[in-house]
Amino acid sequence: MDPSSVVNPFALFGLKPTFEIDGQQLAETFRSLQRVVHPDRFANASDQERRQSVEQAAAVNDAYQVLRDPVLRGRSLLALRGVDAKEDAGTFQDTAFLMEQMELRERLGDIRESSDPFRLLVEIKELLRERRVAMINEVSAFFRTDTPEAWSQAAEKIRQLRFFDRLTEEAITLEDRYYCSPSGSAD
Amino acid sequence: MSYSTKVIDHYENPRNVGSFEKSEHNVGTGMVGAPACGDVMKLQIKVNAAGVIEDARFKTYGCGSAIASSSLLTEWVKGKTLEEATAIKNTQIAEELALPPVKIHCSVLAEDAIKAAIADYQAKKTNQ
Repeated sequence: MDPSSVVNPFALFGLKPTFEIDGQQLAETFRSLQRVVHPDRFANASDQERRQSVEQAAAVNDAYQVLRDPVLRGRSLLALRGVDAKEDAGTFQDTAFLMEQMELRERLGDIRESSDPFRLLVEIKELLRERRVAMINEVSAFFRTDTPEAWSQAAEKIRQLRFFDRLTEEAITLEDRYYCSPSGSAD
Repeated sequence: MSYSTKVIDHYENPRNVGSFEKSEHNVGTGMVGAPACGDVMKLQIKVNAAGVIEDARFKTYGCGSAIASSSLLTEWVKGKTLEEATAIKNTQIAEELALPPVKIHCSVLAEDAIKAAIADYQAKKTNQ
C-alpha cells in the first residue's frame, strides 16, 4: 500500500496535526501501537478479527513512514488543510534553484575522479545536511504561521526538499560504493 | 520494470550531452525539474539567424527514461524551426521510446525543457 494513502496518520498516532514532531516519542508510540495490533495476538481470533489486525498493522506502518519523513509529513499536513500538494503534476522551473541542483550533482559526479573522494563526500554530505535542516526549519515556520499563503510557501519548500532528499540518496549510494568495494574504486 | 531497447540505447549512448555557454546571444537554456522524483534536466539550443535550431545539448540527472527522453529530443529538434520544435508533444517522445505509464512524466519533463529553452531564447532576442 502507498504510505501516503493513510488519510490522517496524525490521528492514528493520537497526535495533533503539527509539522514539529518529537521523533523519539513517535518511535515509542509506533512500537506500542505495533504491539496492540500485531497479527500474532489474534492467532486464535475469528477470520474477520485477524483480517482487521493485518489491515491495522499495515495502517500503523504506513502512518509511521509518513510521520517520520519531513516531506511526506508536510504533504500529509497540506492534504489535511485541503491543499493539493500533488508532486506529480507540474514541472518545477525555478532556474536559480535548479542551477544549484545541477552544480551539486556535478560535484557528486566529480567525486569519482577525485584523489580524495572521502573528504569530498564528507564535505558534500555535511552541506546537504545543513541545507536540509535549514529547509525543514523553514517548513516548520510556515506551518506555524498556518495561513493559506504560508501553506503554498510550505508546499514550494517541500518540493525543494524532495530534490535535496534525492541528492542525499545519491551521496549515500556513492558512499556505499566506495566503502563496499575492496579496491576503493567506485567502478 | 524493463526498459525498451530504444531507452537503453539512448541511456548507453546518449546523444548531444554537454553544455553551451549560457550567456551567448544565440543560445536558449531550459532548466526543469520533477519534484516527484527529484530529476533535473537542462536542455540548450543554438539558434541561427533564420530561426532554425542548429545544435542542441542536454544534461540530465535522473532515471534512464529521463535521460533517453532528453537525448531523443535533442536529436529531433536539430534542423527544426522554433515553431516546429514548440509543436513536439511529450506523447510523441513517450511513444517513440515505448515509455510505460509510470515514466510518462519523464517525457513531459523533456517537452517542458524544450519549451523553456525556446522561451529563454525568445526572451533574450526581445531584450537585444
